[in-house]
Amino acid sequence: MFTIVVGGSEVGFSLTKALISAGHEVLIIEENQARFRLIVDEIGPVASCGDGADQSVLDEAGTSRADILIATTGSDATNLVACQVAKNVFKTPRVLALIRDSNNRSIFERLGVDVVVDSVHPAVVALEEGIPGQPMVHISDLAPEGTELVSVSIPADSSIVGMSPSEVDLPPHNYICLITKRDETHLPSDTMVVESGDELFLVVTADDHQEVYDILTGV
Amino acid sequence: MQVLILGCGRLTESLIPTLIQTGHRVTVISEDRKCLETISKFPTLEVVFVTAPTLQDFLRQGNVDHADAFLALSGDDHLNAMTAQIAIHTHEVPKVVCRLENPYLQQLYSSLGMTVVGDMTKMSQDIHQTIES
Repeated sequence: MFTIVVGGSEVGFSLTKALISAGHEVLIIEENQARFRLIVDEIGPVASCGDGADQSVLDEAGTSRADILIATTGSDATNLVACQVAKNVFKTPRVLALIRDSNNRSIFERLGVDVVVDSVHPAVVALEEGIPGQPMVHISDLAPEGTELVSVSIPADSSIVGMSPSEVDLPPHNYICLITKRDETHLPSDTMVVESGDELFLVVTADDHQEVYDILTGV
Repeated sequence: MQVLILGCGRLTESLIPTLIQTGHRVTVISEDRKCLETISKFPTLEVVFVTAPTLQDFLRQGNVDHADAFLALSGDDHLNAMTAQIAIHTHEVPKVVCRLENPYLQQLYSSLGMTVVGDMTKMSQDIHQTIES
């Protein structure tokens, strides 16, 4: 399998090394001369220097026989253009892109990028989770639009402590779907009670965000 | 017509007087504060300065949802191609123009149905003709 990686930043470079050690044929394209040399010094002549969204650079890199193109530069715009050139000009079967702005996901998907990976948002979520007392943590967007998976830690003084999950009166279309107690995660059941420190995973609609949060943590 | 322009450069500057004279309301969004100051001499022109924006916010700050036309005229082909497509697909702006310098990209995005300006091919033909004549 032949993979073209556009962009030799931390992500692109680490990915290239991983693919090489897994026995794949890879070519990495990096625009910055100094960075390009660094890459060649470390992994040998499987890199090319240039603008990875430029058709002539991609052509020279052998994109016409590539099975996958992965765009990992720090610019969402460059990643989109690289994927569109690969897809439309070189008929690359599979194109993947990294994005920094989560809002860009839908336009990438709409324009034919097969896999869109958010590079900033998951890190923000992970960091948020590490902050004690953090209210409602966004985990993932779900369908339909405006629906999301979130988690909430239940404070000791919450009025739902002692209730069973089904007794918690949430607005329609908002559900508790998992409860983590200490080291175990359960599906909600009527024999279970919500305790202080439990982590509840919920499907919520954007409009009800605040209300759900108030119900779960309110006194 | 409400016209939103991305990018503050000579092309934008040269377009503004005609657009305003013909009665269009023009907004320019750019990261170049100096240039925005220069063009803000035009009466009725609205300028929006944006710093290190995420792209979607960038367009919203220019009120893209109320634009009848969006012109992506920055000096950055990739930025122009992406914002033009966001304007078309996400915000359904009726008229979108995208400036591209790279001839390959001109060809690609024209073939995808976009109105592309920046025809270097024609310029080089003109130059060629002059030299040859």
